[in-house]
Amino acid sequence: MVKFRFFSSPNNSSPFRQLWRLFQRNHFALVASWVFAFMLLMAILGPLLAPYSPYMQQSDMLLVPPSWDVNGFIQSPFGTDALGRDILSRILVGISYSFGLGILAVILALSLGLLIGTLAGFSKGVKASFLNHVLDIALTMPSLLIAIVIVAILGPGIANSFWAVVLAMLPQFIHHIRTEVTDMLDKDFVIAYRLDGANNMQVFRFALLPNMIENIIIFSTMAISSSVLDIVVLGFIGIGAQSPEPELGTMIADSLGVFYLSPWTVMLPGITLFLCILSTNIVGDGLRHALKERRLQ
Amino acid sequence: MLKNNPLIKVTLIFRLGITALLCLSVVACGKNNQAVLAHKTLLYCSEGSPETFNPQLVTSGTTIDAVSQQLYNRLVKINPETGLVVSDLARKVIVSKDAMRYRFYLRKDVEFHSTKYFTPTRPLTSEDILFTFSRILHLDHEYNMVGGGLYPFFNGMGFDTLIEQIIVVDDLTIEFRLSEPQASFLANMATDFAVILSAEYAEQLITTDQKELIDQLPIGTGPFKFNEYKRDHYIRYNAHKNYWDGQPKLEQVIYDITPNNSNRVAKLLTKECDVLGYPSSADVEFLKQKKDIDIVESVSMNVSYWAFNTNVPPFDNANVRKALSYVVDRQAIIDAVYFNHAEPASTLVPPSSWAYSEENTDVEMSLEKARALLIQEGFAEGFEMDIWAMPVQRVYNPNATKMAEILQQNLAQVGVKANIVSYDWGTFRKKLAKGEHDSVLIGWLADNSDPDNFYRPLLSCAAAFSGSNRSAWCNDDYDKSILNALTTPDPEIRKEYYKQAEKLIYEYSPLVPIAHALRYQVHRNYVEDVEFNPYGGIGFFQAYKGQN
Amino acid sequence: MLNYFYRKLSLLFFITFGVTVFVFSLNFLFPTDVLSNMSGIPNIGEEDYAALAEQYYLNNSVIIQYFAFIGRIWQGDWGVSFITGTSIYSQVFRVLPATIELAIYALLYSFIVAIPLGILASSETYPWLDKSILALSIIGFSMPIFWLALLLILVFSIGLGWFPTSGRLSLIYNIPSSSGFLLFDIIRSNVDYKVEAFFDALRHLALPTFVLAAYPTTVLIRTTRQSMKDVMNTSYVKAAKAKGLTSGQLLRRHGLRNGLLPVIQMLGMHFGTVITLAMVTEVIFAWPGVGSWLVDAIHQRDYPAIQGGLLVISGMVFIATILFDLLYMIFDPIARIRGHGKI
Repeated sequence: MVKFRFFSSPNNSSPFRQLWRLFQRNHFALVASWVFAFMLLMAILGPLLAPYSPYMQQSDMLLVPPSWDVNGFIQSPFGTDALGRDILSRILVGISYSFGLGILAVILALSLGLLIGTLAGFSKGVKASFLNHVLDIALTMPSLLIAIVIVAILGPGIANSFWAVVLAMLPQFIHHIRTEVTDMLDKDFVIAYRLDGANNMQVFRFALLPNMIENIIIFSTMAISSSVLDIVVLGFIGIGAQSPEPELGTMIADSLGVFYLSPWTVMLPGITLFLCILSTNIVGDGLRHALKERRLQ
Repeated sequence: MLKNNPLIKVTLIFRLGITALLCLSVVACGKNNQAVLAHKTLLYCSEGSPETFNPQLVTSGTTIDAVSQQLYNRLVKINPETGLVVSDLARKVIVSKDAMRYRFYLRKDVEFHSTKYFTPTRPLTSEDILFTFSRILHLDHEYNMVGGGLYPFFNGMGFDTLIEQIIVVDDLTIEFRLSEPQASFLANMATDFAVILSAEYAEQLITTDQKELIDQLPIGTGPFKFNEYKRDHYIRYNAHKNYWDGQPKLEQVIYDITPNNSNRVAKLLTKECDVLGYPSSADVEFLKQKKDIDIVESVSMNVSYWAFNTNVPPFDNANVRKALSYVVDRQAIIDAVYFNHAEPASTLVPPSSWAYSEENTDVEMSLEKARALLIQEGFAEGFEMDIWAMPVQRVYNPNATKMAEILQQNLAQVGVKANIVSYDWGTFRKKLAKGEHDSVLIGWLADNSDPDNFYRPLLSCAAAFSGSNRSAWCNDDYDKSILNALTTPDPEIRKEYYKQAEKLIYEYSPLVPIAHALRYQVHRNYVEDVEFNPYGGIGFFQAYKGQN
Repeated sequence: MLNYFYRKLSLLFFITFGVTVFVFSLNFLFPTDVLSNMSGIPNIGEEDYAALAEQYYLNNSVIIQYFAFIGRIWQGDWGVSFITGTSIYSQVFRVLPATIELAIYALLYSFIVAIPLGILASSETYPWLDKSILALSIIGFSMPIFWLALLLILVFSIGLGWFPTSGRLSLIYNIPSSSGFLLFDIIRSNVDYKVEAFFDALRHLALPTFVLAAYPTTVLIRTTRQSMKDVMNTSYVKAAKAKGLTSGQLLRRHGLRNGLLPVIQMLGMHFGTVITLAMVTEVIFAWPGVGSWLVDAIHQRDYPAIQGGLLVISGMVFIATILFDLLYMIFDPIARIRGHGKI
């Protein structure tokens, strides 16, 4: 590994552009980012694109195989499930349920975490130490377990499982942001900024945020995969989204009854889910590597 | 350098580990098939937990399947092939000329189960028979209220008014005196509900003040004895070595309670089950393709039908009902709803019953006739009606909603607009009993081989009041025919009476019989001789595992 | 050193306090009546209510109620289930060993598989190996656990018929339960089909263990790889290399001990996740552990049972975390100094 460069040219492009260029060098990550973007698009447009209602049952078209099978039909490209519902439509809506809600949960947890974490980072003394202990406890509990607890209190349902996932991720965000803030507050450039007469708000807006943003983005990307997983697992074990709702985990659980008869009812939602999570993870990984490399330069 | 590379060593160790693991699992597979105990154990995947271990207290098929034939015997039983009553604990039955007295001669040396909680000191005697039926008959009997005091099957057949007296003649002879002749008495005594309990065990429980255990830790004379039960998990039975009819071939019978249909099928495929009860129609098609799985198809004493509420106009008009009966496309229903696992029904009783007569079979689908009849009755422009579709799956009707949809389509062609109505099962039955329906798709599974079990509960006037007559139809001629049939011992004459009754049903169409569903039992091909009873119930006495 | 233990002890105390307060507050958070939640009796009649309220100190302040609650927890009086009416305490501890057994085997398995793979991947001799192991691990990491389980069941159980799909042991074998850890129970039992039962239990273990191990394995591979890379780049390793140590010696004397430290820490951090994933695995494979028991309780809204289950699971996670932390400290002296207030 080359630790220093004999010849280095000054790089004048913005840090984000540098990051993107480094990221692009990794072809896997690039492809993954396309998939990620596609899934994101589907999460937004999926319900509009779905050819049928995800709840519509066609009693004369039960368990029709996908159209590439000999017995498949072109009007249901991914086939139908045990109640004659079009799987393509269900998956399209399902992406926005599972993946879309997962991303939304991360955005929400991030905003709340940013608020609480920053405030906590600025505070000192008993309050901070108390928060420390509470965070310690919450962080030892895996997010899925916390989500299960919250669903146990709130009762099953997609809305409840969404809130459960938000609340379950919150401690991680608070912790992460608080550590960043406290670390950064000791840095010379922040002190210098303070000496210039900046108040807390200004310090946060102009000194902290620009320096934290990259780390936060990467952390959030990784959080998306776990929040999506939490939502689908809750759906799968039957305490998240409830049966007719086309949430991907619930769909898989629903189709278990016929899965040796017609494996596609389980495989297709599963593959979709896998692609969502895999692309998120690869993008997150790629971003992290790119950031590391840029810092080395 | 290469030789010392630690990485290569690590890979080697890793590879060795994998190989060892693989070997272990392969050995495990091999061993398991040859294991002696495994070979003498039969695993039956059942669909639910039994409510009790005393079949007298229930009507549920799940309990009957789990308990009756394994733990108990009856005085007489039904030969599953011929449908005739044959001897069981009673080696001989003598019926008096007036058909009012039945004398049962019991077998000698019939041993009760000897278990951890009870050791019998004497074989079966008349005392046990007397105890068994006194418990049901006499409200002041010590055991009458134990287990709830309800004996649905016996209450339903009017057992308390039917039996005048039970007389112990000697140790091995007992006589039942009836208050009126009843042709179906023996058939009722042969059902899976009329099992014989141990009087000695009951006495022991009284002395230890644990009367309720009689239905929880059962003692019977059957081929298997109770060992262990974990609710929603399993039931474990061991062979009853001193069984009077010879030792069972199996050492253990285990009921693996798996309510989920697909889990049951998966377990059958992985050999976690040897025999499987009640596969769904879709699974049957799938399992038929597997060469190491055998499917036994059997007729079952059931009928699914479309009943009209004869209290509600226009269904009080027999011609309207008749017209609608012409609309039923039985073949389409059997294709789509039963996946061909049923035969079209033209009468209440299925063709396998001895009371079935072929003369009443001219049912057809004819939209012209339907239209003509409707015009004749002044419904040229049709009308609107509700079809209630039961929300649950039953042997006789795997998907009532789908059936209703097919009817809906055909009805539309004769100008009748049908709405499909369904509630959850509890509400459905409650509203049905109140008679809030126009018409309903429902069915019936017989408890015993006697045809009376179809005709009386479904259409008699008495049933119209008590609720099992969903048509609320009351016809004096019909009631007279089935009563005559019941009080006549001669099957040939009874058959004539039932033929008349069937004619009346055809003429007045209070209900339209749609299909007799076939029943399936699925097992691995090495399982032999499982007894499969058309009236429900499954027996493992003769069963064994062959080579696979 | 003493200081360290003191710190950990106070942390343990705080955690116990936090968890019990949380579980206690569940009594008030669940939708059913507080007294029902505490006692496990669904519909309490008017006449019994006063007496029960007295027994559970409901008329006193919340602080006293809390201490009464702690007292009951300590005595093993965890209330009874709404559904079955049997003691929660005995139910929980009957199903708990199955979960611990599964989790331990899965961790053991992932340790055995992941560490050699991680070391292999860290080697700069075979870059393609590194790439493929990493790719495999990211795929494993992204695979929803229940979907992986279904794929394996489809292929190995239903397709090939090698492994059973559910339970811990075939119902054929009747092993008396003493410790609750099945393999031990089989060895200790005196039935004549011991060997068959043992292999049957192994066959039942195979798929759940593999499924559950997928997540810790991928995490461990990545951790091991990274920390081995870091260790091999340190100056003391370079110095040792310059002295002429072979790579085997390097690995034994410096690499493993220092490189595996973060692995221990990682195991501790992820133990909670493994227990949660074990719950999902249990649901799929009908494994009679505390996870499937808890999920059933949630389905049936059996609130006393949910409380008991949560208490045990969170308690187990915390204890395991602290144990791993101690282990880490034993191996890494530096850890004793730093890490204030951190688990």
